[in-house]
Amino acid sequence: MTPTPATALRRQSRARKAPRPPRPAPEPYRFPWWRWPGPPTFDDVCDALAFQYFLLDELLRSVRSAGWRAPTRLAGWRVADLLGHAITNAEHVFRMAHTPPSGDGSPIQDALDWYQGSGLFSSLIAEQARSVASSGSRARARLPELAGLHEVAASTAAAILRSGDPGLVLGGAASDITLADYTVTRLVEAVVHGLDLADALDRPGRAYGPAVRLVSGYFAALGERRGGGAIPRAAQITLAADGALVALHPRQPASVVPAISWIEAATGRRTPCCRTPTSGSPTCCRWSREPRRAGKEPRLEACFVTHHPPGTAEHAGTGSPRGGGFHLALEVDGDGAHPAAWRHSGRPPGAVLTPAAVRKVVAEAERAGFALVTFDDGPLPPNVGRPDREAGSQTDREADRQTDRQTDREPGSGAGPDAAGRIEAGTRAAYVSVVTDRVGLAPTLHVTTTEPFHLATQLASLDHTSKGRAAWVVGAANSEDALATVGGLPRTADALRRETADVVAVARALWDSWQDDAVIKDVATGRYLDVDRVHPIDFQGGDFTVKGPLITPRPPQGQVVVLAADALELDAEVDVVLVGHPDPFGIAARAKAARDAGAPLVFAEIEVVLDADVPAEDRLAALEAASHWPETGRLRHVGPAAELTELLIGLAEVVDGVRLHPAVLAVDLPVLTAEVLPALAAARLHRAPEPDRTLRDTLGLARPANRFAAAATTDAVRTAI
Amino acid sequence: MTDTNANTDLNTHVNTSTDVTASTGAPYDPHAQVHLGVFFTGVGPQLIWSDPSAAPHTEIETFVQVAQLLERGLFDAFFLGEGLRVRENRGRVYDLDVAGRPDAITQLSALAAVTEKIGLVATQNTTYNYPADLARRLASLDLLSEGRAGWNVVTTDNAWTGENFRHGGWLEHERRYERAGQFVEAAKALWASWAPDAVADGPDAATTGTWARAGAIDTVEWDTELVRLRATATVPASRQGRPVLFQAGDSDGGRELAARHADVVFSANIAYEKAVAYAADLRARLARHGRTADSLRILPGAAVVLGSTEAEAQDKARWVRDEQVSGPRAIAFLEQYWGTDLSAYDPDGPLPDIEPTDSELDPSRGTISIEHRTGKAERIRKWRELAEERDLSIRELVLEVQPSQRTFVGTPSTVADEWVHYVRTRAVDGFNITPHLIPSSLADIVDTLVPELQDRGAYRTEYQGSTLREHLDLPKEG
Repeated sequence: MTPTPATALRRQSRARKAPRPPRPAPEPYRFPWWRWPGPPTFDDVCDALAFQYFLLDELLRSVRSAGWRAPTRLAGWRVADLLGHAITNAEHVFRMAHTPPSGDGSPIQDALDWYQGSGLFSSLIAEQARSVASSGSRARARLPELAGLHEVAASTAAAILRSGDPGLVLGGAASDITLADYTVTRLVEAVVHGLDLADALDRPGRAYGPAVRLVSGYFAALGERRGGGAIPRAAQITLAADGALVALHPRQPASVVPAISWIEAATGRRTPCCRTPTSGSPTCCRWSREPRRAGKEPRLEACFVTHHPPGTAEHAGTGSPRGGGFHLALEVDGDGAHPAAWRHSGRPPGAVLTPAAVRKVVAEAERAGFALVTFDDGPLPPNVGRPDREAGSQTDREADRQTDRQTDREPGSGAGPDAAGRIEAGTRAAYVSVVTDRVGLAPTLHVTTTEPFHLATQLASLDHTSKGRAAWVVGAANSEDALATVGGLPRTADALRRETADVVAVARALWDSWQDDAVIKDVATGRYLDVDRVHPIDFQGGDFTVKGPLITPRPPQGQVVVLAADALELDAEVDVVLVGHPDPFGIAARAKAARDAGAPLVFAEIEVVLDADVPAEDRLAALEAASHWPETGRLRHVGPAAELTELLIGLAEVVDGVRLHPAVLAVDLPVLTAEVLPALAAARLHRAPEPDRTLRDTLGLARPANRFAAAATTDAVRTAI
Repeated sequence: MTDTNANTDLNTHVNTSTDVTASTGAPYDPHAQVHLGVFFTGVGPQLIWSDPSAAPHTEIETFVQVAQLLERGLFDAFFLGEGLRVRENRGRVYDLDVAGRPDAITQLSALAAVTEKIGLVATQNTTYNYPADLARRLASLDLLSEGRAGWNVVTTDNAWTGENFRHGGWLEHERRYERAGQFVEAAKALWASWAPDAVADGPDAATTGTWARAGAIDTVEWDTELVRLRATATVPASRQGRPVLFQAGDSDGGRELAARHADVVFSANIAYEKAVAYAADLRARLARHGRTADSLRILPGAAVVLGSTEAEAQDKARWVRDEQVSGPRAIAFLEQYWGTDLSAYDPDGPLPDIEPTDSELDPSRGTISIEHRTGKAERIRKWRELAEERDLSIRELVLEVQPSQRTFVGTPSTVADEWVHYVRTRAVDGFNITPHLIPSSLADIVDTLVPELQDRGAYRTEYQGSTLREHLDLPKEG
C-alpha cells in the first residue's frame, strides 16, 4: 500500500522521537559555505526537505488531469516532464546511497559546486525526465501514477538521507560529495521545481519557511562564489535578518527581495521584486528590464510571491492551502505564557488584575492586526492544579506547573511563586467587546464547571455585545481540584469526551433555538414574537438534558465560532481545531487528519520567545531560572522574529492559522507587532481584519443556516406536497 | 409585582406626619437621600415595544444608552433581571411581551467599559448555579468595574425552569432559601479569602519575591447536602470589598435571608403603609442578627409616569396602562385562568361564557404572580360579579384586576415631594424604577425629577464616591 504523505510524516515523526544511536561527531555538521547568522544543521536540512516533499505531494494531489500537459516556464517542458524530473531527483538518492567515494584523492565537492559545469538542464537530464514521464500506461492514468511514484520516491529518499551520517562521503558523477551537502542539492531541486510546478499549474508558489531560508542562502552563496554571474543584477548579496535577501547593486539602493522571488530570480525564472530596507514599506517594486532613464522612478508593481492575475480568487487570497487566508490568533491571558512572565512585565504583580491591563493588551493586539484574541482560563488559580492530560484541557499548563514544582503541597492549597490571580475569561472578553471593533474575542469556558445553559447564554450575549465577534475555546477541566469547585468528581476519558461533545452540541442547538427573524413586533396582532420561530431543543445527552429555548436571541453570527484543542477530539464538531504538536510535521499530519474529519479550519499552536533587547535564549534562561516552563506539547520557537516569520510562512502551507502564545506579552507582543506581522503582510500572508465585520467574515467561515429554519422549510414543502 | 391597583392616584396619599420613627424602626431623617436604581427587566408586559420611540430591547446600544443616561442622572445602580426560561402561556412561548435578554454578568461587564460610576447589578439565581463559578464571575465583574458590582440574589423553586439545567428541579420549595443562604455564605467566604496584602507590591517582588505571599490565600471548603465545594478564589477583593448583595424575596425565608446577608432589599412593598410595616419588620430582623439599621438599604420597585401638569401625567399613565394591557394581552391573561383557548373572544366584549378547566394555575411559567397559585375558581367567580356589576369588557376587567406595578403619577414636583417624604420617614431609602418606555421614560426622570429632588436637598449633585457601596452610603465591609 502506498503510504499517504500524512502517514509517512507520522512515521517519520515517530522515528524522530526514537532515541538515535549516538553520532561519532559530537559537533553538529557545519556547511562551510554558509556565511550568515544561524547556520543550519543537518537536521534542519532534513526537516526542510521532508516538508518540501510533503508540499509537493499536496500540490500534485490537487492537480486535475487537464493540467497534465500544461507548459512550464522551462522551455519545452510540460508538467509531466517536470514531474518526471522531480521523481528522478528523488530516485537519484537511492543510487547515490550505494555509490562509494572514488577514493582517488580528488577534492570533495560541496553543494555549491554540484551544478558546476553540468548545466541545470542538460540533455541527459531532460531525456531521463521524459522517459519517466512517458512511463505510465495510458494518458489519463499517468498523472495519479506519477504523483504516487513521487510520493513513494520522495518519502523514501528523505528517510534514507536522514538515516545517514551527515559527514559520510558519497561518490558523485564528477567528484565526491558529503551526504549533508548532497542533501542540500536535493532540497534546492525540491524547492525550485516545486515552484516551477506551482507556476505551471497556476497555483500559489509555496515553500516551507526554513527551506526557503536555506535555499536562499544557498543561492546567495552561489552568487558570491561565482561573482554574481549566476544571479542577474546582483553583484553582492546578503541575507537580511528577516530571511530576505538584500541585493547590493552597484547602481541601485540596497533592495530587499522576498525570498521566494529571489530563488526564482536566482535561477533565471523571474526578475526580482524588491523593496528598500530603509522605507520598510510592504510595497514591492519590480526592477524594470529596461535600463532606468534619468529622473524616472522604477515602475511600481505588485509583488509576485503568488502569480495569479488580479481578480481571481487566488489573487485575493493570502496563500493558504484552503484559499481562506492565514489567520493570526493571540493568547492574551495574564502576563504571558511563561509562568515567570509577571517578573518581566514591567508593572506591579497585581496590575494584571485591573481592567486597564485587560483593555491594553487587547487594544494592542487589535492594532497589530490579530484576527482573534483568546483568554485562557480555568476554575483554579493559574498557579495550582493537577494534570488534565487526557482532557487536553486548557489548564494543562497550570497542571504541569503544579506537579513540577509543588508536589509537596497539599493540592489546591493556593499560591505557588507565580501569579495566583486571574479574572474570569468571559467577563474579560465582554469588557473589551464594546471598546474594540474588529478583533475576535474567544474566552475559554469549561464544560465541566459551568452549566451548559449558562455557557451558551454567556457566549450568545458576548456575540451580541461584540456585534458578531465572539468565539469559544472549549475547555474541559477534569482534575480533582477543578471538579471539586463544583462539588464534582473527575470523569473517565470516555465520559469526558462524551460530555464535552454533548455540551458543544447543546450550545449549538441553543444558538439556533431562536430563528433570526423570531422578533416580529407585529403591532396589528400585538405579537412581539413569532412563536413558530422560537424552539425548544429537547436535548438528551449522556448525562443531562436541556429543554430550551435559549433566553437570548440568536447570536449575530448565527453560531459563535467554536475552537477546541486537538486533544479533545472534536474535529467534526468545532470550527477551528487547535493543533498542539512539537514539530511542523506532527502539526501537518494532525491538521490533515482534522480536515479529513471535517474541521473547517485548523490552527497551529506556537509558543514564542523572541529576540528583543536581550536575545531570546538569554530571555528564556532568565525566565527558567525563576520558574520552569513545562513542555506543553506545543511547538515552541525561541529565536529571532525573522525565523518565526519563516516558520509561519512554512506552516501556512498546512494550516489555516496559528495561535501564538508569547512567553512575556510585554516583551514579545511588541516584537510580533513590529516585525512578524508586517513581514507576513508583506508576504501577502496576513491581512488585518476590517472593522465592523463578524469574526466569521474575518475567518472566511460561512454564517450557518438555522437548523430549525431549515426544518421549518422542509415541513412547509412536505405540507405543500 | 405588588397587588396594588395601578390606577390609584398616589398623590392624594402624601403623608406629612413625622411621627413614624417608631413605626419604621429608624428615626426621622431630614437629610435622608433618595437612592435610585433602574430595574431593566428585559421581559414583561410593562415594557412598551409597540411605540415607535421604543429602543430595540436586545441591542447592546440600548443598554449602553440607558446606562450612560442613568449615570448622567447620578443613579446608584443599573439592574438587569434574569429569567432562566422563556416565558410560556399554556405550554407555548408567550409571544405578546418583549422577550430575549442577555446573560446579565456578560452584559454588565461590557457596560463596565463604557461607564465610570454607576453600579452594575446582576440578578443571578442560587438554585441553578455553581456557587464557586458564580462567585468568581461576580467578583470578576467587581474588579472590571472597579468596585461597582452588585448581585441581586434570587431563587427558583420550579422544575419547569430546572429543565434547562443539569440538576433539573432538584430543590424543593422549602429548601431554596436554605441553599441560597449557604450559597451566599460560601460566596462571601471566597470573596474574603485573599488577605488584603496578598499580592506582592514591593520593588523587589519581581526579582526575588513571590507573586502572592505564602499563606495569604485561603481555600474555601463547604460540604453540606445543599452546597458542596472546595475552591480557591482567583481574584482579590475589589475596591468596595465585595459585590453589594441585593435580595428581593418577600416571603419569611426571603426576609430572613435579607436580614442576614443583604446590603439592599429590592422590596415589593411600595404602598406607603406597607413600606412602613415592611421597614419595621426588616429592621427588627436586622437587630436580631446584630446588624444596624443603616447596614441595609430598602429600595422598593416602582414605576413612574411624569407630566408637566397633573392632567397630562394622568393622561400619560392611562396611555401607558392601555398599551400594557392590550387586547391580546387581556385575552392571554384570562386564558391562564380559564386554562383554555379564548382567542375567539373579543377583548372588548363580555367575559367568556364557558367554564374554566378544573386545574389550578401553574405560576412557574413566568407570566403570573405567585399568590395566584390557588383559589382560581373563587377568583373567577368574583371577576364575573365585578364585570356584571360594572358592565366591564374583558379588557376593562383585566385593567382592574391584573396585578401591576405601583406607579407614581404626577408632575416632577409632586412625585419629588412624595419621595422625599418616603425617605425622610425612613419607609424606604429610594426606589428601583421599572421603566415602561425606553429610553424616554428614564430621560424624563433624569431631566425633570432628579433636579426637583436636588432642589429639596434629597439627591446628590455629583457622585461622592466611586463604588456602588459608596453610592449607597453603606458601612464599609468587614
